Amino acid sequence: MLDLRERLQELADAATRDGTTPGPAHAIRRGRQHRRRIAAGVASLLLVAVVAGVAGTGQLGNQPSRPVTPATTPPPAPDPQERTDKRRSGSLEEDAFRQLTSELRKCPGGSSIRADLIGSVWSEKYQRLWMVAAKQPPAQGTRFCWTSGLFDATGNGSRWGARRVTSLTNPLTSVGGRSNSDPWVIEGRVSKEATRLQLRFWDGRAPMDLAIIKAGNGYPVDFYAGLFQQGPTSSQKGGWAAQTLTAFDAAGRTVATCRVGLRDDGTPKCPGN
Amino acid sequence: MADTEGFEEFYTATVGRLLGQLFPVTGDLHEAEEIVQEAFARASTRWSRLRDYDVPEAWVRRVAMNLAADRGRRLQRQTRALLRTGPSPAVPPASVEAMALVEALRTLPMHQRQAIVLHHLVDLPIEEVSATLGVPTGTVKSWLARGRRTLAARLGDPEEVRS
Repeated sequence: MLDLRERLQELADAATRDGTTPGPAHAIRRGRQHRRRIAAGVASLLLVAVVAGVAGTGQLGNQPSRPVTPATTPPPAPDPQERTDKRRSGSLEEDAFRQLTSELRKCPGGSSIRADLIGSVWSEKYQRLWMVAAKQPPAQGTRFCWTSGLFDATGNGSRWGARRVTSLTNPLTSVGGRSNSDPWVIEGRVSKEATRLQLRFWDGRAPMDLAIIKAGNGYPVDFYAGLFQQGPTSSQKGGWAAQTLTAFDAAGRTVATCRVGLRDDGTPKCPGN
Repeated sequence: MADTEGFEEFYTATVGRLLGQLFPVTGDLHEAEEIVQEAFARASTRWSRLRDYDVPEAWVRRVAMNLAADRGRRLQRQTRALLRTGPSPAVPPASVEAMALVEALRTLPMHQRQAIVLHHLVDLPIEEVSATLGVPTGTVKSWLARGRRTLAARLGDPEEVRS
């Protein structure tokens, strides 16, 4: 069942969790810059009015009119919030990892804990690199932090905010997302028992195996990702083609299965994070 | 008393919530961040008056909603080609159901998105939504009904949509 309030709240929570704002001091500085710009604008208007008045008086006194020089105001200071081109030198992987490392600085421990490049996958079909990076738990800690991103060949792309894993009770988690020009990404973490992960769709297309990225002994889980396009599904299915995700172990037994589709078919919903 | 005394506490307490409320309106996290920061910058210049308001957050939200509408209008004036080649919207990870809602919200006109967010997420009564958006209550009701109908059609199960 569609619960508008619940889904809006989930979106709001995700934005609150992953959004970054430069802080109150920046807002105050920016406000002051606005004020200075407005003051400069008013001053220049006054100057124009005075010059125009003088010129007008001159005309009234039958003096030859002088051309009014446009008032000049200093250009506004560049806005420090303006985003810059993210393309940098070096390989795509280096570039992508650098971007993910920057996300991971938001994790507990800041930059004192090294970020690990867990792995990446390149999609020939979509010409996109998906990469996952993480930070191991601090000493005596069990929580770890991970992030991922989808990049095009120039290193531009979307990266998710750092996600803190506080509970390992779910053997399979899933989040999805996309940017306008990108394919849809479905990704998450999966129990180390899993050797195969299959995504099933509503719309009759063949199931798709998703890439499992082994995280090694430093992490209690592995990660996965898959890219796909929505099909021309009926509006009843919300245009969202994916439905269930199932993890299998090496013997082909089901480790976990959960729903990633919009319709509730009785399969439990995949938790996020 | 300094002009900005208390502003930092106000900012820290409310910025996350406002960002969460603006994201469903813009559909782009970076855009929402930029708008919220701009609204707070404007609030900082009027803080000596705003801090005496009962709910200064409502003022910031109103400014942010107006900024979002302005940007929406600017985007509409751009050509489709520009939109196609422009930067991709940033979206935080969320459940696939929530992501489908982002996509569906993007298809709504800005005023319907704003009304839906203010009423269904911020929990404002119709009268306050009307005051925030500067339109009559009947218009808000109509925007809400149309918005919900479109969302239901795009997300499925129209008969099951509940607010």
